[in-house]
Amino acid sequence: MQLLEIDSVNFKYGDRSILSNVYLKVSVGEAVGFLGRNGCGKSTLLKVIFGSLKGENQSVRIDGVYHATPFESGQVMFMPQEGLFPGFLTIRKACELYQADFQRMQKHPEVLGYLDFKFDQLSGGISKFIETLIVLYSPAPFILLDEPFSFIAPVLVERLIPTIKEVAKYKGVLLTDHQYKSILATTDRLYLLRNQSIRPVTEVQELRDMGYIS
Amino acid sequence: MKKAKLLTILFRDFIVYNFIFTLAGGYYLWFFEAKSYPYLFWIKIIGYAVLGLWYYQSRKERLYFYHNMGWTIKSLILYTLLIDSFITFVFYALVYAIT
Repeated sequence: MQLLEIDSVNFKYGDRSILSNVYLKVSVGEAVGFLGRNGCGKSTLLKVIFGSLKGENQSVRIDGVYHATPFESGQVMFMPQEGLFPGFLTIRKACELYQADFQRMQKHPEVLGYLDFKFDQLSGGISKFIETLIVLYSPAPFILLDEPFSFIAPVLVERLIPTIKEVAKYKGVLLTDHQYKSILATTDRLYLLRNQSIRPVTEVQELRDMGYIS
Repeated sequence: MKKAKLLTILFRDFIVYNFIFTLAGGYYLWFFEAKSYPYLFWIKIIGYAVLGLWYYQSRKERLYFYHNMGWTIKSLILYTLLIDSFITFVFYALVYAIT
């Protein structure tokens, strides 16, 4: 079973420590979520795992093999909060470039209707939904999603949740979002990022106890 | 093939920059010929600085598109310089031949 492991993550913005000694693992076959307040370092953690940000210290391993810049291995794909693809690209071309599984993509009516549309011809929500699908259906065994449910319509959120769960049967998916109910509905395991460290959460009550929700 | 497509996309990202600064260099070469060489050099240097700043300010998120394809910032800079240098060289050679 393929395993993405990250440990000893220490990250600072100036003098402010964001992440301290963070350990996390994601296996192929599961969706792992983490929550946290604004500015607690959720996006930073994903970017450190992806390899686009370097902390003071970190170790990212895939199947036990250390990767200084994990994205170079082609085994990790990242969907940022904001748009991913250049606006002048058509969805069809983006699918080709990212080698997205076309059969699975075509199961989504939103994709079929817009295949030859450019991203800048789509609304922000539809664009983000389709971009997330392309990343999910790419060949990479590990997918990192930064706020996949934000800025998209509730009906698309309802479609995205089972899609991520389906993909997580044969990939490892790590995601974070402020829509904690969607995260709860999607993931097999959950963590809370708080006070620079990450801790496992098994009950919603724990989120209340730790002040994430009231 | 995939690499060629990506290079085309990368080029589209800085085509306006390339057009403005290459044209400015061409203008100097046209009017000042050999005397323009130092200017050509500095136009390119300033151009690259402006391009880097503009990309970092307005298109930083675009980097993830390339990173997902396995391209690092170093390789992006290298490919940008290679494409830009090639186009600039061909354009200047044409201007030089005409003058």
